[in-house]
Amino acid sequence: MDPGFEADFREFIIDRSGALFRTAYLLTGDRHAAEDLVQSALAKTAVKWRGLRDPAAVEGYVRRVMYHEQVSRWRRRSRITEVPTGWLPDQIGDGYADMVDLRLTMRTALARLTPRQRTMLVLRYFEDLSETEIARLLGVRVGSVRSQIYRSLERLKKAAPELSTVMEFG
Amino acid sequence: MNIEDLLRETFSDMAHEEQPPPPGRFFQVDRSRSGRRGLALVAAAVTAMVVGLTFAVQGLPSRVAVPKDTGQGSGEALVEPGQGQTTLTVREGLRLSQILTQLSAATGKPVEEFNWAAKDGKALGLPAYAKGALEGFAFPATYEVSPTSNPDEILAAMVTRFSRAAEDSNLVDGARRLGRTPLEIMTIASLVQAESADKSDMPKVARVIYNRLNHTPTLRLQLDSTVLYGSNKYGASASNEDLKSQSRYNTYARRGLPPGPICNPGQDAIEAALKPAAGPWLFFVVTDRKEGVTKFADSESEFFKLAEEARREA
Repeated sequence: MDPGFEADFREFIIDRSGALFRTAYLLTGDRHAAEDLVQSALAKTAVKWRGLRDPAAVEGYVRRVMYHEQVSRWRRRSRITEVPTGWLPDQIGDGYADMVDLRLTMRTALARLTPRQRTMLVLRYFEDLSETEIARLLGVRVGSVRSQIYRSLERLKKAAPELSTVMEFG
Repeated sequence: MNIEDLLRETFSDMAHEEQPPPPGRFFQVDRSRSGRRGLALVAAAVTAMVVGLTFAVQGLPSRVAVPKDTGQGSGEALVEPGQGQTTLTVREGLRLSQILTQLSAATGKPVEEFNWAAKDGKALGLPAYAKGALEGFAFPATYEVSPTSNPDEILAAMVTRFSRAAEDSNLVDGARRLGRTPLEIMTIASLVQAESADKSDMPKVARVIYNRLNHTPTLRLQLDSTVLYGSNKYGASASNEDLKSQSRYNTYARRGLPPGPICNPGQDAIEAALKPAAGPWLFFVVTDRKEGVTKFADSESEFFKLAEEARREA
């Protein structure tokens, strides 16, 4: 095996696995699933490595594998496993506690979306990609990205009716 | 605030709540799928690294000789090499990561193998209320391990020992009586373990935690031990920077208990969490760190006096 490959790939993992893990955690909502997703995407990238000399291209490739794998997951397993947050704040009445409540509600609602919808939201609102970029990455039409995101946001709003109250104060 | 901003904040929160695993984690072959070509390649690419790791662990002196006179509460693991058997004493209040390092040293197996085994909560026999996480449930006691025991066997033995301790203290029923989940009780027990300088302080420390949680309005726990755990640091007090962290273990910023145990408490701490002393205290201060003196206060002004006393002693 090419010794340069070994060193480069190891360095890439050391540099970027943290960032890849964070995205994978948002995609899956579960630490173990996130680690598996990164691991599997890295393995697939290793095979392609020779054609990907540009470091920027490598990360793009790993991420694309991650997104695709996550999106196709729903065909194999219909449900995302979300580790529930053990503790719910019982003290309501200041803005901070309201916000915490609301974010917990959001997370529960996120867990109910399909992996495809959730992936699109992560790409749009965490990775800050445009709808066009998301469409290109996932190999779907822009219109489909737009409608899926719209539908997901509607579902989240429905799941969190408190949102309207917070919006008044916010 | 609209739904899109809320989503951005939620994601950004979530992205910081789980520390990424060390990069070395991804140098490992996924055993369940190691037949696949891609994974084999990853493994091949990093063989050198893994070999280096194994070598380093086997080079640790702890398998050979470790001081024997380490009583309870001392900082060192007690390892006695016997006829292929090693007796390993895990003391109370260690974090899981510390225990795994000690187990690795005692068995001569790479710590990565223990990290792996620790992740499979179901195989370890964790109770459902642990939610798959081993932290808090690797019970401190003396175990016999041999270089041939598997990491999952050793960890499963620690969980079994925990289950016995849980039965002895009647954890599940006791938790119900207190209106808490068993995981919350174990979380409180871990705080009590981490914060008590002396065993005799434990029931009072537990009382302070309950009093703060049940206070109207709720008082943040403000325990440095949780903040340090969240930042993966050790010591007695958290830095100002740590206090600003987004971690869910930052009990200065967040209300209520941290999401889970911060160490592996012993029987005394579990008992204290289940049977806190009666009293009005809302604060405690270690006024003399050398002698392990802790004083309790029920008002802020008293607390400031104690804090001042502690400052003078230090």
